[in-house]
Amino acid sequence: MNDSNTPESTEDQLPHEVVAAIRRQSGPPLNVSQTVENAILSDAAAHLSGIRRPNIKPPARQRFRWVAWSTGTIAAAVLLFAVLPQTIQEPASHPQSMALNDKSSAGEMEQTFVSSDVDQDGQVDILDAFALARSVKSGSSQANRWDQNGDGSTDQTDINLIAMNAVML
Amino acid sequence: MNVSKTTINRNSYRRSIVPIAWLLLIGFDVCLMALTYAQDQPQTATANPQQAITQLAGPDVADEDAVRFEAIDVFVDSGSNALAAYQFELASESPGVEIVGIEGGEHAAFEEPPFYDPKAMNNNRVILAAFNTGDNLPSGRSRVARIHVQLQGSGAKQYRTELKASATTDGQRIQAQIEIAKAGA
Repeated sequence: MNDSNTPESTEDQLPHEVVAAIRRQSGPPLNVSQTVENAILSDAAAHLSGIRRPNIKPPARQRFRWVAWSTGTIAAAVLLFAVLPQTIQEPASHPQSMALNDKSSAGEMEQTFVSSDVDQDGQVDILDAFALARSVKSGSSQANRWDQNGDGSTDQTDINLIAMNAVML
Repeated sequence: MNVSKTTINRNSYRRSIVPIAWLLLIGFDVCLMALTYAQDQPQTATANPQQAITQLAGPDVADEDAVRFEAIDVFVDSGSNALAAYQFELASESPGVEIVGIEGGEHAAFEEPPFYDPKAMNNNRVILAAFNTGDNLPSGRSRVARIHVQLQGSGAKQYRTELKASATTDGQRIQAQIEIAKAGA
């Protein structure tokens, strides 16, 4: 390999006749009008801009996607924390608001829960005991719904149970 | 070219529909939360919370470990309404306070000791409640309970009281004020 023998271009290696013949065959240079060139360029630009769009602004798009995903996740978490505790913990937040009645039936133990929210205001307080006491005192048949200890009758014991539930720490 | 444009449009549509779906979900969440809080609102309104912070003066003692006993009177002012039921919470916000005893009030309707959790004994917090279905009921300012406390340390002790419920003869909630004071003061 001798660097001094390396030709400058391939054209120099060819005989002049061959070069002339090739030039004759390829003909004169093409003249493309400015209008056609502009049309081709704009068409190509429109095509390429569509294809290259994901590559032009990847960080912004990706950021927007992240924002959308994280916002959605946060919103879902907020929803979970806001709604679920209220729906699930409703009975748990008033554990004493339920009294357990055990009833034997054909050798099986059947468990039913009796609510202590006598005045139906969504919370158990002394006013529920007061409401039941007034109901028992008046002899209302509705009082039997609030049999807290499951002894088959609603009396002072049931009223006391509700009152004690109301003051539990 | 047309095929490429259709593909591009479909991709754009797919890209834009994801954030819109999330926005709709967020909007739904916000509406749901607003609904939840709106449902909670009447409950807190009917709960009739009456909170107050009261400081009861105490002597300066030389021995900080020495204990002394005091009685705190609890008054409920139901105005012109007859007071048939009440429930309140008392908690000490100062160290060195222990509840050691609970008594009823001055009026015949509430002279029996109120309902309370035995766990309140030797604790710094208690919920007291009582009711009376009779006709002889107090109105205006009436002492409904007396709480005995064991105190340790000098100076004033701070208490937080909250009237959680008060009702008249027919069970209707009424506006009332709660107040505490050192017994005999």
